[in-house]
Amino acid sequence: MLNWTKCLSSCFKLGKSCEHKNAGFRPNTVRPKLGFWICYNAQSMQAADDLLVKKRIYIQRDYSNGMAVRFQTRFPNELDGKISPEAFAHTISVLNEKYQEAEQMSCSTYCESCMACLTGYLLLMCIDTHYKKVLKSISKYIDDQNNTVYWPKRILIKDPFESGLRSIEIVIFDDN
Amino acid sequence: KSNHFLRNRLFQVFPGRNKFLCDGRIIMARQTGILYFTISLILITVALFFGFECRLTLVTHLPFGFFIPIVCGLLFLFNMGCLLRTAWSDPGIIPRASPEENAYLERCLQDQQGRDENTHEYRPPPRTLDITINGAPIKLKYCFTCKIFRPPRASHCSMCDNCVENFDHHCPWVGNCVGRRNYRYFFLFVTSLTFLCLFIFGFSVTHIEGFWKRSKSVQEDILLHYILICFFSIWSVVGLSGFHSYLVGRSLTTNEDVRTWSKKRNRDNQNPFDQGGLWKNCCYVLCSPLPPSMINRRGFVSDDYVTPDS
Repeated sequence: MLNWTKCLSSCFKLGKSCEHKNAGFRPNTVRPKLGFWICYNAQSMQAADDLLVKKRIYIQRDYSNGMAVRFQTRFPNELDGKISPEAFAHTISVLNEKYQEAEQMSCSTYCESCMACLTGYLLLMCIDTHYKKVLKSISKYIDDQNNTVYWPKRILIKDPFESGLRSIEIVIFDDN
Repeated sequence: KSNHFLRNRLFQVFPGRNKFLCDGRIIMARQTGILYFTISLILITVALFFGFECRLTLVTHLPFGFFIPIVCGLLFLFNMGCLLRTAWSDPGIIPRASPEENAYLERCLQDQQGRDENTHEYRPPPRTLDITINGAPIKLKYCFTCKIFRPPRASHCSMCDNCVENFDHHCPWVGNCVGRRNYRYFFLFVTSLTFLCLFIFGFSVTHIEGFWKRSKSVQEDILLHYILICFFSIWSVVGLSGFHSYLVGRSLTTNEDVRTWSKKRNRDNQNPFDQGGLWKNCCYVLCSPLPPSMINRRGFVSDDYVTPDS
């Protein structure tokens, strides 16, 4: 499994170019222009910012089961022909499950909160909370999906956390 | 190749009316004078208590008298920690919609609305969305400043010009909004302040009682005035912590509570966010997992950044 995703995302946050070299893949400079972290084989793919954005669609929240973070799995018409509805529904439902896991009240999260309270919340400065850990895994999952399923069709999914968990932004590029 | 030293951080282009300190790590509302007043009030009270109590423990040699300043010190540190966390953390601000998202949403709503109609004139799309949560119908309102449909329980703070999740109220004493992410710190601040006040008040009264019979000196006069101030502030703090305990028990926010008063409904409203039971509500409000801040304060502005207002 390639580990350039993690390196690239941290390089992006620091605003520097990623010089991570992994066997067979030489990542290009981070492209902050589109806000996506694309690390690709320089020989096979063309630069992402040479492509024009054709359309942006936003998958809205599904509030039918309460305040929990869930996104609608309804297949948008703009993706017709590019992605199969099952693959799309699978991606969204996995994301929904991960968000449910993040917000779930379990014994470990309860203990974490209590311990944090007892230490005067200094514990929160030292460790990542459960929610943050799940968010990191969600970010990684989205990157994986982008690189395996969506980018070959010139579609990219943006992490909904950047928009405040309001919607999932899907960018469709021109195929030319 | 862009030099990262020249790029702005996102907090420098933040559209709301907030103040940022420590290179974006600390976020506060614009008016912070009252916060400094609160901090100095608590500091002076505890400092005076230490000044008088240390004398008391040294003079009277109470058995286990050293516990008094230790407990007071711990309470004070916890209280200060909670206050600073409430004042300096992001209350749960929802980032504003980008212009593209806004345009997409308007198109979707217009398509839904104008499906049966043949007119081509521009009609503004409906600004409320009807959804059902756990059987209760709720209207999602559109925020014209942030250009989003506000999630349930969110509200727009006019002081900070931001939409805040689970908006409770804007507290001038704390110098920040109280929302989803800092409500527990606010609650613990108010509760620990109650205990601190009662603790200081109790021991000051016993101190005064001990010295009253012997002699009346200037220092005891000061202590008497100080006790009176403490006494009056206790009522407000105890009242506030009692009110917030009630809110925690019913899983409500101040905003929602105030709205039910103004609507003057006689029958008991079923709160759709009630977890079912006092203990469950307390756990949910105080111990549920906390999401990190959604406004990326310390990230860098990308080359194609467009301000949400344009």
